[in-house]
Amino acid sequence: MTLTAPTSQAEGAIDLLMDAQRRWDDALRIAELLAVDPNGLGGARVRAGPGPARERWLRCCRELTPDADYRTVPGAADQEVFSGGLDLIATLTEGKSVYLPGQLSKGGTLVIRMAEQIVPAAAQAVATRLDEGGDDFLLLLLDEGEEGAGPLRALSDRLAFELRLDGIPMAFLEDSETGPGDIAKARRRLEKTMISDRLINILGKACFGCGVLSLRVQQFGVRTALAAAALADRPEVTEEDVAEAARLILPSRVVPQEEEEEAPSPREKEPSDTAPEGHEEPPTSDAEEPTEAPHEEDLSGDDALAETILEAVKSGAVSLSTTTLGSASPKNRMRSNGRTGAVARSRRDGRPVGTAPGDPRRGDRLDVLATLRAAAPWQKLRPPPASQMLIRIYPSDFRVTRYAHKAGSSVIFVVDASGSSAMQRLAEAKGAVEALLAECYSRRDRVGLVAFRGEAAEEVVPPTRSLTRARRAMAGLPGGGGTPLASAMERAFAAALAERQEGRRPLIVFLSDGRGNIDLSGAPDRAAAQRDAESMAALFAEQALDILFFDTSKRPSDRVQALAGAMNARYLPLPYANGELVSSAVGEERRKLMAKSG
Amino acid sequence: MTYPFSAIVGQDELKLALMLAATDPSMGGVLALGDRGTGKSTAIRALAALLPEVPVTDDPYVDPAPSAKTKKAPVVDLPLGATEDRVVGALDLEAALVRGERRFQPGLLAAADQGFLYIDEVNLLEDHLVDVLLDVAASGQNVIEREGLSIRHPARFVLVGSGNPEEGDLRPQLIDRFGLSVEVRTPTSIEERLQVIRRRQAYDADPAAFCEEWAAQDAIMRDRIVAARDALPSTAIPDEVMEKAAALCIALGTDGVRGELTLTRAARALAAFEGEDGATLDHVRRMATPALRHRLRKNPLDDSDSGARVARAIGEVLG
Repeated sequence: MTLTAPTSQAEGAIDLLMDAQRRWDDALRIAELLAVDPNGLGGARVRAGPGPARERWLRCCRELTPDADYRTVPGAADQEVFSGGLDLIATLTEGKSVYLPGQLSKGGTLVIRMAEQIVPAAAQAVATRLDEGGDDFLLLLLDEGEEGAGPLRALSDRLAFELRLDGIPMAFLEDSETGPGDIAKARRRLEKTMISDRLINILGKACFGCGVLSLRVQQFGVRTALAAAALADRPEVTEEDVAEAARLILPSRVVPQEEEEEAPSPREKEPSDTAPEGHEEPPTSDAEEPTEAPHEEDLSGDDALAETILEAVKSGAVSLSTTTLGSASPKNRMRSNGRTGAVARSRRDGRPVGTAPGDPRRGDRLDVLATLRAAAPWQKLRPPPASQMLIRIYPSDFRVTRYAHKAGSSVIFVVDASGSSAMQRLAEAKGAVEALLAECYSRRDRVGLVAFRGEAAEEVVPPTRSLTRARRAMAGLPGGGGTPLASAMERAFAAALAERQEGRRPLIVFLSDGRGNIDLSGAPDRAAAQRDAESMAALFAEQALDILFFDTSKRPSDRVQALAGAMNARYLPLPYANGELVSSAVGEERRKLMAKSG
Repeated sequence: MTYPFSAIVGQDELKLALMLAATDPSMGGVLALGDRGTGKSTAIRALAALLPEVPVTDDPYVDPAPSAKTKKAPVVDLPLGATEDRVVGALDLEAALVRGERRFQPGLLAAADQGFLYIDEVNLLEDHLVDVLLDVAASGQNVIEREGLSIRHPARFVLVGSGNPEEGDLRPQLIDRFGLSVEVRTPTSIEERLQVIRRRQAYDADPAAFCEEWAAQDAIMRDRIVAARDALPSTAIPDEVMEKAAALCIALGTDGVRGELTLTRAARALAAFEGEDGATLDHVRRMATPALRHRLRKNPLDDSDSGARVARAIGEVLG
């Protein structure tokens, strides 16, 4: 490809393509390593939408171990599907006991599709199976969901690799040259492959350098390096093996270090609220904890190696972030699978409150006695029951239990950290957040904080119940700079809708003087900023969100009042710093909300 | 083949707490707070494997007399999304549908009898399950009145919970029920990590040989626990020591009396475990932090760690 005048756009495109090629190559390599040591590596989490890249990769995995048992299971399946148990519906319809064997009972490869919908009980069962290991059990999670924790986290902690297969052109999808014969030989060699203490320690240092303390991750690194050596028919692990292992395992686990003040970020103009956590600027400052902890004798050579490894890992982490920013837009955040998840969960959450006709096949819980009672009076009129059953049950007899799940509330603070009175406002907000969390013994409530200053807004505290986490996130909050109000509103909007998805009632609390002067694109254009803020306000009103707007300007401003009105917010002037007023007003509003939702 | 208890590297605070909880189950179990993936579950399973076997009851709901058979102390995981039916037990559906019998299908609480009930991520546990567990853990009995069943069966287990405070604060009523709390941290020393990895490798390479190698150590631990259990009833705690324990609890402002009860029980268990006749001030001092650190009333204005507060109070009251 010849370029007469390379532009930055063209360079960007080439970067993306090279990155895609590299990701595919890594994916093939990971498939090989997993085939060599499934017990030690656990499996992989595959983040991709449905498409040719993902299917091709699964096929590659399967072809590497043609003798292994290969099964697929939907993520939302009941726990019995995984652990085994009585198949209730089949039993009722067929008239004899039908058992589900349980997908975890045998070895081989288990693929969980739409794994982001997995229910906690099932996730636990799978996690326990991974802990036990053995039988060459390999788990492949196909995750189509957005970022975030949830039951999937417990599983991905126990899997060595995470792959991203989005955005890989079909032309790149070649098969690897390794065949099942090579895998079988490598497996036999694996037992006798050795690794020195020195290299184990270097992996440890690489982990620390990325802020990853978990011992399990270091162990994955060791097993990966051993598998790599076995594949290359080497009796002992080399530095290259270790570097490769670090590069494959660490980038998806890098923990963001504390950002240095005013580090200019090459952020995309799109509001990147889907950027994966942990992929902010490559950390230049040291990890907070233990880079001083490792004491070793040989300093120079090992440290240099560890540094080289770290650089490779970090460049991997950066390129991961640039690829995902392009592929997802904020609209994708509320996709239908998220909604299904929320509904499915709510079917069985909470206290049972009565019985109603329903279909247990759709996820509701069968109430056996009520079903039997419904069927009993009709027995004389029905044909005799099937083989072992004593009564004949028709689908119209099914009765299911209804549950009442009391939705929790959520408070999202949006705090103006710009201008000179920033520190006061921040202090009030911080105080209110902590006070709310401290009194939240009811664990269903969450509190979050979006702060805005400079060019953009930042979700400082994602909605959480943990006082510890909130405190830590708010600790280094600085003030000053321009006012990107619209951008903050956008963040809060996304957070509020996400809370709603999960069945909570969000309350948004603004602390601002309403004078945005940075518009959504990050440019200091006051008129554009005002327009952006007004269109966001209209969105808020459209969604009927509950909002409290504290006007912190010295004199209550008409413009701010108008903005609050456009959002259908409750407007409260707050010219002087008054943390108590904020706390009590928020508390009162929250109680009103909870009373309304009942 | 479970990984041997004595082969676990580090985690001394956790191991001691588990052994004392096994010595005196009335103390209330162990809460392990801290990082993920630190081998908490491994430690519990290893301990259960090490303990003496427990008698098997063929059909506890019909004839509670134990048979001559024994089995290993059970370790039951309480899954996050467990429904009440699975935990408490319910009508045996197959028997009901196929044979029209009203039979009780035991749940996880029954399975955990005489063993351990392990709750991972205890801070995420559903409220109504928490209520059930609190009742059963306190009374040692599971009472079921539903779906036409009226059953009562023993459910004596050591409750072990793990959790990460970063993920959400724990409900005070629940954590108060745990006897001891320990902090579990991922080892950060390079040598310790190396040792963990090497031992794990040895175990994976040949589990039988590895367990054989550590069998003697495990046997010593088992004998100590058994001896401690036997000695416990006759382990005294002098009045002066009890008064100091009470003074410590008052100084820390722990809610209720459970703090003192646990502290004195823990001190006695420790004394018995170490082969002493009676509990001394030193035993109280050593057990104060695990027994009290999770019972302090949370003060949002006080940033200091609970462990530090207890240490300060120990210095003041016990000298």
